[in-house]
Amino acid sequence: MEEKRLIEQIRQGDRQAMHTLYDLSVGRMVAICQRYLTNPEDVKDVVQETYIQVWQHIDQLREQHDGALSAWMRRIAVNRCVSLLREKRKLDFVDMGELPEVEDEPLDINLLRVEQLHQAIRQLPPGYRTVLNLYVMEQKSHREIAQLLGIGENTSASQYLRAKAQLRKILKGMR
Amino acid sequence: MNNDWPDKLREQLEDFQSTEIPDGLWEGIEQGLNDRKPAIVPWRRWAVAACAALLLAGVGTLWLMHQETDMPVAQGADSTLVTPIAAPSISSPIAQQDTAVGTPHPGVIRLRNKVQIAKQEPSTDATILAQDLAEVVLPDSTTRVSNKAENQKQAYGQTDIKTPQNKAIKSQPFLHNNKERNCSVKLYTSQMATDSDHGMAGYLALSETGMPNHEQPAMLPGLWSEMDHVEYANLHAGDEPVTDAHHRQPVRVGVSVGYDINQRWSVNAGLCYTRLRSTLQSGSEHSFYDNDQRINYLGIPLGVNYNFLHKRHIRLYATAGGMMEVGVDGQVTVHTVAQNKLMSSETHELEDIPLQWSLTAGAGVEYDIVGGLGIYAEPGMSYYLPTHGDISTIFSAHPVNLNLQVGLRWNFGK
Repeated sequence: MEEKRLIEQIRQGDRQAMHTLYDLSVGRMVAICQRYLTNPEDVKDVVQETYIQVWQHIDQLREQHDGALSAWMRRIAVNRCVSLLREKRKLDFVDMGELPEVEDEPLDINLLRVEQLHQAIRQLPPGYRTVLNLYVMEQKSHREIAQLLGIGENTSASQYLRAKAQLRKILKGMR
Repeated sequence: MNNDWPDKLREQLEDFQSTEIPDGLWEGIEQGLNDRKPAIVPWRRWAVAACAALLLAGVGTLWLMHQETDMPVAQGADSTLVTPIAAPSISSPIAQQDTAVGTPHPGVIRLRNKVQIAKQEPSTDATILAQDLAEVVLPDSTTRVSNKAENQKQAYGQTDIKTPQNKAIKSQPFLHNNKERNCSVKLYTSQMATDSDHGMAGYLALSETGMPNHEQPAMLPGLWSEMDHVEYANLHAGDEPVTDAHHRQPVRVGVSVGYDINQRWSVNAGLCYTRLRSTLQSGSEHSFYDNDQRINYLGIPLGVNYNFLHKRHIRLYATAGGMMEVGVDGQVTVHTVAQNKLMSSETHELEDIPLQWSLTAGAGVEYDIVGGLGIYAEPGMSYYLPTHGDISTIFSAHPVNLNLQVGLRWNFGK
C-alpha cells in the first residue's frame, strides 16, 4: 500500500491501516530494537511504545515523502531504546586499557549471513553496542553521540574503536 | 586492508527484519490504541454534523409545536394578521352561530378557557396578544369592544373558522408577514467554543517552515542529523523533549448579503476575514524552539437559511452552508532558546497555505431592534475539511467545532 495513503488512513483512526503498518514494519522495528536491547521484554515494550506513539501522534508527521513514516518510526524507536538504556543505567563507558591496534587483516563480512551480523552486534556490551549502532547504523557523528549519551566526544570515539575491534573479533570467530 | 566493513555492515543490516517477533506484541499495541480516542473519520464527521443539524432542527420544531399547542391564541392572532382577508370572516355564519346559539365551536370553548385565564392573569402572553389583535383586526377604532375578553373571543373565533383562506393561513402558522422583505445585509463576528491546547512528547513544529533546518529537512539522513543547539542541550541535560501547542481562538469578521427566495427559504453569500494565531514550544523548560504562527484568510461563505418562525420581533431559523477560505498571508517566527539563551530568531513567510474548506450547520435567532435592523446569534457546528498541506492550525487540530456567530442584520423590503 502506498505509504501516503496508509498515513492518511491512520490519521483517520483506521485500525486496519494500523495493523497493515504493523504487518509491513514489525520485523524491521524489532530488529532495530534488538540491536540496542538484549532483554526481550525491553524490546517488546519499546516496539509497542513506538506503534502507540505513531497512532497517537501521526497528525504531527509533517513529511509526506515515501519513507518518511518508516524514518519517523525508526527515530522514535531508537530514541526510546537509548532513553531506556540510560534510565536503566545499562550504559557503562569507562575507558579501560589500551586502544585496539590498527586493523591489519581484511574482514569480508559478505561471507557472513545477515542474521550472524545481527547477532554479533547483540553480543557487544551495552555501551559499545549503543555507540556502534549510533555511529554505524544511524550515522551519527561522535559529537552528536556525545550529546545524546551525555559523554565526551573522545569517549564516544574510543568506545567506537573498542566496539569495532570487539565486533571484528566476534565476526571473525563466526567465519 | 578492508576498513569499510562498517559501511557494508550498515548496508547489510539496514533492511534486516527479525523473525523473532515477541509473543502478544500486537495485542499489547492494540491495548495501547484503545487508550486513545479514535479519530473521527470524515464520513463520521459528516454524520455528526448532520445529526447535530437534525437535532437542532428537531428541537426547534418540537419547541414550536409545543408553542402551537399551548398558545392557540398566538396562532389565531397570527393567522389573522397574516392575511387581511381573514378579518372579514369574523362575521362568517359559523362564527355568528357560535355566538348566537351559544353552542360554540370546540375551538371556541378551548379559547374561552384561555380567555378566562387571561382575565385572571392580565400579564399573560394571551392577553397581550389579544390586545394587539384587537388593534390590528378592527380597523375602525370606534368599533373596538371595550371588553378585552370579548375582543379576544372574536379574535380567537377566527382561528376555527373553516374558510379556504384560513386553511391556507394554517399551512404557514408561524410566519409573520406584515412587512415583506427580500434582501438583507449582515455584519458579524464569529467565535469558536474553545481554543486548543495540545501537549505531546518529542520535538514538533507547526509547519515545516517552523522546523529547525527547515530548508532541507527531508535531505538530512539519519536520526539526529538535524539536531541543533536545543536538542544538544536537552540531550546533554537528559531532558525529554515535550511539545506544547496552543491554537488561539480565530478572530473572524464578515459581511454577507442575503436574498429571500420565499417566506421560508433564503440564500446568502459574503466575504469574511479570519486571523489565526498558534504558538508552540518544543523542548524542555530551558532549551526549546518557540514557534509563533500567524495566518490571515479571506473566505467566501455560501449558505441557505430556513425560517421556522417569524413572530413580531423574533425570527428563528436553521442555517447550513459552506465556506472556502484562501490563505492570503502567513508568517512563522521561530525563536531558538538554548539554556535560557536566545540563540536565533527568524521569521519566515508561509508558502503554499492550502485552501481551507468548511461546512457549517446551526440554528439562529434574530431580534428586530428597529426598522429592519436586527441583532442575531447563530450557534452552530463547523467541520473543517482536511487539507493536504503541512501547516497545523486550529482547524486541523479541531476539525469539528462548535461556534457562535453574532451580528447585525439589515432587512430591506422590495
